[in-house]
Amino acid sequence: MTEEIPKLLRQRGLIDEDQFTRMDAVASGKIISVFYELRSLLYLGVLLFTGGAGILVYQHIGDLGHLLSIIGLSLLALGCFIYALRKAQPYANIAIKPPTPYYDYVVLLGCLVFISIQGYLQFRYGWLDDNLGMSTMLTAVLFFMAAYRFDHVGVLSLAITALASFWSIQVSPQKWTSADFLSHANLHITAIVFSISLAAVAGILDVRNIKKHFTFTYFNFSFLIFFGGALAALFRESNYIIYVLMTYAGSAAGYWIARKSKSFLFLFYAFLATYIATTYWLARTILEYEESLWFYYSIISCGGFVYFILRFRKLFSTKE
Amino acid sequence: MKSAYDTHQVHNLTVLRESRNWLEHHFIRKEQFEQIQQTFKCRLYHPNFLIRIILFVATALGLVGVAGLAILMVKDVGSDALRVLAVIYGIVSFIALDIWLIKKDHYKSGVTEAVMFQACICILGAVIDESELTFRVLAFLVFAYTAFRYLDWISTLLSVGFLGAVLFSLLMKWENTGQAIMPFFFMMAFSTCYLSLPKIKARPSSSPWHNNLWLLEVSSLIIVYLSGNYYMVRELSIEISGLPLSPEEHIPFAYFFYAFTAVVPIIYVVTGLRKHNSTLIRVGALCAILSILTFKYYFSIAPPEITLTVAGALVILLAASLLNYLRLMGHGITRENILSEKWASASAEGFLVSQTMGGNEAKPNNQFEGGGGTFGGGGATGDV
Repeated sequence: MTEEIPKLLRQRGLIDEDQFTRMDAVASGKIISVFYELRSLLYLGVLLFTGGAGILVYQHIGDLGHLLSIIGLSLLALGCFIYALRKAQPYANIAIKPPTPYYDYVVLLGCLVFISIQGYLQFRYGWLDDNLGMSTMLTAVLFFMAAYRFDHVGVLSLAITALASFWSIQVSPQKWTSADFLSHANLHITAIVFSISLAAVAGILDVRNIKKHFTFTYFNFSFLIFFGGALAALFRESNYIIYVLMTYAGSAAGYWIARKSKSFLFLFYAFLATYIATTYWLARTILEYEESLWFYYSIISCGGFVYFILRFRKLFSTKE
Repeated sequence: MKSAYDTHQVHNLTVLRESRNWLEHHFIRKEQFEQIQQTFKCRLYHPNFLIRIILFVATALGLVGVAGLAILMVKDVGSDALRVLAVIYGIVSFIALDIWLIKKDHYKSGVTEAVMFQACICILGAVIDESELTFRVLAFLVFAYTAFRYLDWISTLLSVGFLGAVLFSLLMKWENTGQAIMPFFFMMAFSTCYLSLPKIKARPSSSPWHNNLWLLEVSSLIIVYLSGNYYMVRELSIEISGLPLSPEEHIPFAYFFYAFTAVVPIIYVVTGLRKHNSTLIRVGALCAILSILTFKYYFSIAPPEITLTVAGALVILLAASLLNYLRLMGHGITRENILSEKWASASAEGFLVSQTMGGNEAKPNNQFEGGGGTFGGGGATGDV
C-alpha cells in the first residue's frame, strides 16, 4: 500500500514529476538503504569488542601478554581520538552531521576502550581504594568534553552515568529492576539533589541554545534518578508524606516539560510515579479499611486520567 | 466480514504519515504537505506511540478495577456460571469497543487495545481448563479474529504463535511419525505461507492489512529458519521424545540440519540484497546471529572473552568495509539514510549505549568488571 502513495499523489497533482521519480524509486524498493543495518552492525561490533577486551585484560593480569594488550588498547584509544579530532568539524552549538558514517562509532569505541584501560590501571596499581572518586570524575569530565566536542549523545549518556556514579548513584538496568540502585542509606537525598541540579544545568544550557538536542538526554536521566530516589525513600522512610509531595512536584515538572518539548516520555514517567506514590499513600491510610475501595480507586483515578488525555488531546499531540 | 475501521480513513492516515516522513526528509515542500493534508482529510484519533502506551496502561489499570468489582458482585455463582459470565463480559467488551470507541474515531489509540485485550483475556480465561489442543485452537481463533478485525499487530503475532502451537499439538498426537516429520512439516507449511503472501498483498482489497501481512511474512521466515535450526531441533527432540542423547551423539539427519542452519541465513540475506527486500535482509541478519550462536554452542574453540573480542573486531571490520564499499551506490543499495524508521531516534540510541556499555564503574568494592558486559535489557524507551 505504501508503494502506491507517490503514484497517488502524482495523480492528484500534489507533487511534480521530478519529485515523483525520486520518491517512487525509494517507495518501490528500486533504491534501498542499509543505513540502519550497518549502524546496528557497527554497534554490535563495538559492544562485543569492548566487552571482550574488558574481560580479557582482567583475566590475564600478570601474564606476559597483558602488558602488550594494554599497550595495544591504549594505541587503539589514542588512534580513535586522533581520528575523531582530525575529522571533527569546528565546534558549534547546534547538532552537527557526522563527517563520516562510522565517525560516531570511532568516538564511542575510543571512549569505551578508555574505560577498560583506566579501570585496569586502577585495579592493577591499587588506586582503587584511594582515588576511585577522582578517576570516575576524570572519566566524567573527559566524556563530557568528548560529547560536546564530537557532538555525541551516546557519550553524553556515558558521561552522565559516570558523573552519577561519582555520587554513588548506580544507573543501569539491573539496578532498576532489583531496586537497589541506591546502595546505602541517605543516598536518596543525594539522588534527588543530583537530579535537580542536573536538570537545572540542562535547563540553563537549553535556554542558552547550547546543544539543544542534548536536553532530552539530560532530562531523561534527571527524571529517572529523581523518581527513583523519591520512590525509594517513600518506601523506606517513616515520614513518607514529604516524598509523596516531592514526587508530585517532580510529576508536575514532568508534565510541564512533556507539553513544552512534546517529549511524552516524561509524561509517562510522571504518570507512573504519581500513581505509585498516590497508591502507596492511600494504601497506608484509607484503603486499609475496605477492600472494594481499591477497585473504585483504580476505576476513578485511571478513568479520570484517560478522560483528561482524551478531552485535551490537542495538548498531547506532536503535530503542530 | 471486514475490518472494524473505516478503511478509507485508515488509508488517508497512512498517506498522511508517509507524507510527513517525505516532508521530514525534504522530498516534498511544506506547502505541498499542507495541500496533501487538505486532500486526504483524516479524523481518526491515533496519538503518538508514547501517549498510546500511557493510555493503554491507564485503561488497563482502570479495567482491572471494573473487573474486580464485577467479580465481587458475582463471586458466589459457582465456577460454570462464572465462565459463562466471563465470555459474556468479553463479548460485551467487544461490542462496547465498536460502539464507544471505534465509532468515535479511535484508531489504535491505546484505549482500544486495552479494551480489546481485556475481551480476549476474559473469553480465553473462561476456557483455560479445556484440553491443551482445544485451548490453543480457541486462542488462535480469537487472536486471528482481533488481528483481522482490529488490524492489531500483537494479535497477529499471537495468532501465528498459537497456530504453530496447534500444529505442534496435532503432530504430537501422531506419535513417532509426527515427531519425525515435525521440522519438515513446519518448514513446508510456513514457507508455503510466505510464498503465497505476495499474491494476497497484490490485491487492492488487502491494503488495510498491509502491516499485518508483513508481520506474517516476518514470522513465517523466522519459523522456517527455527524449524531447521540445529539447536532447536536437537533440544526439542530431546525434550519431547525423551531421547537420551549424550553431548557427542548426533540426532538423525544431523548434517542436513547443520547445513540448513548455516545456509538459510545466507539465502535470506543474498535474496534480500538481490530483490531489494529489506525484510529479508534484516530477518537474515538476525538468523545469522542465531546460527553463529548455535555453532558456537556445539563447537566451542576459544574461551568466551577471546571469542567476544575477535568477533567484535571482525564485525567492526565487516561493517566498516561494507560502509566503504557502499560509498557510491551499488546495485541500488545505499549506505545513506533515505527515510528514517519510525522507531529510530538518536536520544534513544544514546540511552541504549549507556545502559549496555560501560558507565557504571565506580563501586566501593572489588566487583569492577571492566567497561562492558552489562548485556541485556536496557530501557530503550526513548521516542522523542
